[in-house]
Amino acid sequence: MMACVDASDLYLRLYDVIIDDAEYLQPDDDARHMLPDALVIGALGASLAIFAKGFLGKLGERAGDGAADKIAALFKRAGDSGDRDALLEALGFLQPELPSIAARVRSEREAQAARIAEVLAQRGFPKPVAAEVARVLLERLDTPTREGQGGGQ
Amino acid sequence: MTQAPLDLKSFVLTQRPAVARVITWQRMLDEALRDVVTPREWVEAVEHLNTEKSAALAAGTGGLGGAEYRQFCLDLLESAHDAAGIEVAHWILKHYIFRVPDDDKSESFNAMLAAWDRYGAIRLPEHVRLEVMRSLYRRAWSRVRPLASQARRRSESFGEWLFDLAQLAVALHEVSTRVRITNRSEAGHGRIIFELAGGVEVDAGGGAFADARFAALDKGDMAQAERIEAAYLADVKARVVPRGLEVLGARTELPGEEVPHPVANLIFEPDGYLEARREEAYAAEQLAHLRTAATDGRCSQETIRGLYLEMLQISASDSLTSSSKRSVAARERLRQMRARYELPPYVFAHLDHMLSADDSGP
Repeated sequence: MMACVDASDLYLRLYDVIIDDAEYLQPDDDARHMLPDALVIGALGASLAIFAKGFLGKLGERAGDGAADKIAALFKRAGDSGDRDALLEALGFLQPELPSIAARVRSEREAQAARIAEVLAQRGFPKPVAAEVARVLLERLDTPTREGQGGGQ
Repeated sequence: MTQAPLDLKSFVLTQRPAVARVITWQRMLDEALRDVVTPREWVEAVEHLNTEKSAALAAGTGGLGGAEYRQFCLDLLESAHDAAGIEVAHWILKHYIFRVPDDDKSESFNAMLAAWDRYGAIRLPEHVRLEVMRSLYRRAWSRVRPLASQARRRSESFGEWLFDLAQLAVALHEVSTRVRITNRSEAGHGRIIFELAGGVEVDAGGGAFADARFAALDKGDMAQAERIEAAYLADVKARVVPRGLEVLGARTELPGEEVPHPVANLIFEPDGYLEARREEAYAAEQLAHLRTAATDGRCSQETIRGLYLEMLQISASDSLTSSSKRSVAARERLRQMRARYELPPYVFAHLDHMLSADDSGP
């Protein structure tokens, strides 16, 4: 059975990747004010939903029935509504499994990055920025440790 | 042993050397020709450079003075048809045609556009001209994001942080005032848009012309409105319509609408225009954050010292929330502040470490 761990460090490492370019998520009209947190978390959730979808089959084999679907549902909720708790919970389930799927993640990184970039571009990122953010997100998921956190990237 | 002179034009077109090398050659040539007054002196200067450097220079027959060299540059531009050639064309346009000083880092897009009229005789292939214009636009904006990242991540002292903010502010001011592709209609005035062949549109502006035309339309006097349009047409063509494009019609736009800069329709496809708008909006937000941080006094050492106490309070507040959740929220807030230039990166590192180390059970 999948264990849910405290993934706050991983969450913040991924948050670091999105937040600097998050203003691209603002709507393109005069209503733009301070960037809502939900937009940032939503973009991160949607990106991770793409990631999880690519590897849920592998996760499902390891974790047993229902676990992969649960992760997918949590990421989707985070992506749709900007629910931080859902995102943290999903990462809590995902983090212990990352080492076991790391090899496959690396081999499919380019395809995954393209799909994540497409999601970010739909939400307002220029295509080159979306591609770069997607790439860095996947790198961070590949090394989900305390290394490099806190002081920035 | 004197090397055989190299035909620079042929070399560039066939070998496609790196732009930096071509630029070096051209600068060497420029330097060598600075005091040349006769064809013989030119030949001697070129031969001298040939013996000194492994990279040779444009030679050709003797007698290449300033006008002939300019024609050589124009010939090279006409031949450009790929990315490397366009890079060379861009540099030639900037330094040899528009005479932008080497120390001018702004690459003013609008200044380049204003110079097109003066050099209308330049016979540039359409795809080259448009690509160079796109390149000029993108270069001006491409500096913003790296400078923003630097301002958020680099500094290790208060002085360094202020320097990075200042660099970013200068870049943002330049692009926001000189390289925009969107214009907002003045409140209270309509705008007249002339429609040109090929789907291109040109903004003829508002003001007195628009007011007079609206007044005529309000009276139902279509003939008068058309006379007013016709009277302004020649002036508009001379001012803003690119050479050779036919005017097909005109329409009005309501006050307050955001309309694309007329040049945007020339140089961008719809996707490219959308991306450019996103960059403009992003840069506008950075400028707003920077101004807020500066005017609110956040860019001061006193404020930064106060942040330490504020983070302690956030960390200790709300006893019903788990320590872990408080810590995540506070560390998230630190990142938002850093992203908005309210917190220097070196202070961020210290505070974030403090909060992560504080992440113990209740």
